[in-house]
Amino acid sequence: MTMTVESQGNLAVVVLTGRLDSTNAADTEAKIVSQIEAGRPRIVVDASQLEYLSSAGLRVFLVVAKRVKAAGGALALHSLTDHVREVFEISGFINVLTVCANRDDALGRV
Amino acid sequence: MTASRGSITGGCDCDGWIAMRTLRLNTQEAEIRRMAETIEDFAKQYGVPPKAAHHVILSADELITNAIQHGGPRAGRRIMVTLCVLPSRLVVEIAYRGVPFDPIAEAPAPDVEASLDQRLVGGLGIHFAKTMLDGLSYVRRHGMNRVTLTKSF
Repeated sequence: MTMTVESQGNLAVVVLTGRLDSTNAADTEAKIVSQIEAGRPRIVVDASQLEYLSSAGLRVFLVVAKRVKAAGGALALHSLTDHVREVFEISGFINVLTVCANRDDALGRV
Repeated sequence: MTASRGSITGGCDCDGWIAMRTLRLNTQEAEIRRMAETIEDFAKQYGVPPKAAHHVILSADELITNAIQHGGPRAGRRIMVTLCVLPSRLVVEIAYRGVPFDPIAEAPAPDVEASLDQRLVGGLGIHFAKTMLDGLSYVRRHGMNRVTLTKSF
């Protein structure tokens, strides 16, 4: 998986590409948390290129959601692929995390 | 009784298989990728729809990750994964030597209605497998844990 970050002020847009699973969840979590710790608690995750997500990957979003909340920010994900959306639906995470149709909507929710 | 195109003894519910492939994984999480690629290639080759293949890959990932994290397979031992494609289903058996571990019985049911603050991730992997598959069973046989995943398509 590749992860790129575009940051601006207190906002970070994280673009995830490929697979997020138990092999890279800890590393991905650490990288996103470092954005929050660097003073960017408004996090937008562009999931349009995220092809695969397991429960280990879901845990990353749960941790990040709690961390941004504690830091007075917010997390929004957008453009979920079908496989990832299904994982969000079956887990019920679709109801507790902010999931948007596109980048503009997500930017408006953080 | 119809003649089987293939059969294996003592293994999974694969009588009548069209194609079968086995792979041996080391007890490392990185091996999940090799497993996923192998199932994907196998599924594509034998006409399994991509969504059904994804359900099987995710379920197998969750079960193998679970087994490794619980220290089920002994260090240095391999996890045997057998893939079978039948006329309308894909069957995957995960087998390894180690302490008895029934992933289906031991997983707590996740509360998928819980709020953000109360959400836990434990048990979600098994919840995915139970939801996405048409069959999931565990048996302890000859000192081995054997988990069988069945997906109809």
